Amino acid sequence: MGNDVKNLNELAAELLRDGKVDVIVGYSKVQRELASRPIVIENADEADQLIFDRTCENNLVKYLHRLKGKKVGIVVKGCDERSVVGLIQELQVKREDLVLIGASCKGVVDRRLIWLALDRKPFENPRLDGDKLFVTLTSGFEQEIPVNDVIYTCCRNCFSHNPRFADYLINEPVEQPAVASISPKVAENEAKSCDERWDKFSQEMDKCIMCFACRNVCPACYCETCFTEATKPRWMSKTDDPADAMFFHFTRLQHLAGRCTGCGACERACPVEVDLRLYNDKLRKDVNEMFDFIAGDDPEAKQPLSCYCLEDNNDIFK
Amino acid sequence: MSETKNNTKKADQWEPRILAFLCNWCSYAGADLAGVARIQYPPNVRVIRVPCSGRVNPMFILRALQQGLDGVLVSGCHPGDCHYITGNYFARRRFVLLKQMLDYCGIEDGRVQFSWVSASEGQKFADVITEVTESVRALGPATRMVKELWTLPDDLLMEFESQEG
Repeated sequence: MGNDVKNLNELAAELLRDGKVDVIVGYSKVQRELASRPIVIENADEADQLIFDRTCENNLVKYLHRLKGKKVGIVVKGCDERSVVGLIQELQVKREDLVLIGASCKGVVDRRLIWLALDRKPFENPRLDGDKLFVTLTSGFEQEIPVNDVIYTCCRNCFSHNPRFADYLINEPVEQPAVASISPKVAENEAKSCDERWDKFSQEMDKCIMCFACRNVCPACYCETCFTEATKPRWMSKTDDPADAMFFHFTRLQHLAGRCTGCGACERACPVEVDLRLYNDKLRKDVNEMFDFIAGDDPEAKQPLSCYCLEDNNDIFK
Repeated sequence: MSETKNNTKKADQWEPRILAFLCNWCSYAGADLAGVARIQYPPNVRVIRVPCSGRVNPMFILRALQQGLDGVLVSGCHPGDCHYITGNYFARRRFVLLKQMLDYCGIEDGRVQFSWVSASEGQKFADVITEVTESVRALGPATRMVKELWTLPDDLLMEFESQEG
């Protein structure tokens, strides 16, 4: 368990061959350009399918829930590792059952932003080269786009480029720029009047089609029966009334208090682009300010809603 | 159905409807004391007795807002006085986060309120209820996050009624 950089494919093959892990969860190539998909491999000869580049956007930690009882090797970026820490805190996984294959990451590519950067012009043969992305337009012209212009918004506020607890590293650590972990939009929204905040919230909730993709990809959401599906009691109804979407999102936020690490998986999964970050970040900010807690920082720390302090904020109580 | 119709009543007829979750050991006893002592307070509050303020799931509050209640009050024992020693400490953390989030999303400030009232504070209970009622009255009928119940369009309704003869 050194900190020297290893080749992902060789490492995966070695771990599987030596029986150190039963399965490895990682990313593999897909036909489509600038995309990758999660893959679970069990044999050493499949290890050459594994890749890691700036298209590996999924938070693979979600798969740990289905692989309980197995020794799992998992490819984690800095942000995904925070989710692992959360699950260790909640006793959902044991650290000794995991082999963390750490990958440093400077942000993953958002395909929608490339399209917008090119004024919605069609393009082909996208090619990643270091911090630059080259695409060929239909005219044959090869255009250069800085990758940092087309990474996900959650990656722009990323404060954990490098994994900290990984057993193996597959690339060199990258420089961590000093960024605020909370989206600047939160402060903007806070400064608005109550009516404006309500308008923004209704606008966002109007979009929600209650597909629950945000819940399905969230590594912190693992209840066997989610409140959205519970029938005894039936907490919520699923109609097209925005009040139902609001109920869902308020409760989702309440359940994620002190547990949301801001990995952005929900935002990426949302098919209708609800600005989930605006609300998740507010929650993370409140938790940090009031309970001095940052989710995913310390595996030993107690979660803020499972403990209390005599001097907690008492202002809202008459 | 009558629940939503209340909201469309004229302002002069409208009376706020407030749901109060009172903890069995303190605030509920406080309400009892207010009654026994014949202290007057507005009759706009509907009480649900809960074992502890820690029993109040944030979903209860959200559901109440969704169903068109004009205000929600949660009241429990003072910190340190909880019958179950620590219930209200845990509740306090949850409610502070919920309240901040409701505020941030634009639910009016007075819709959801919290208080600590002990069993000996009959007068305080009456004061809290008066204060909550007045602040909700000032806000007017709840419109935000209220679920619109589905009703038959008038023409269809008339058709059905005429068929029934």
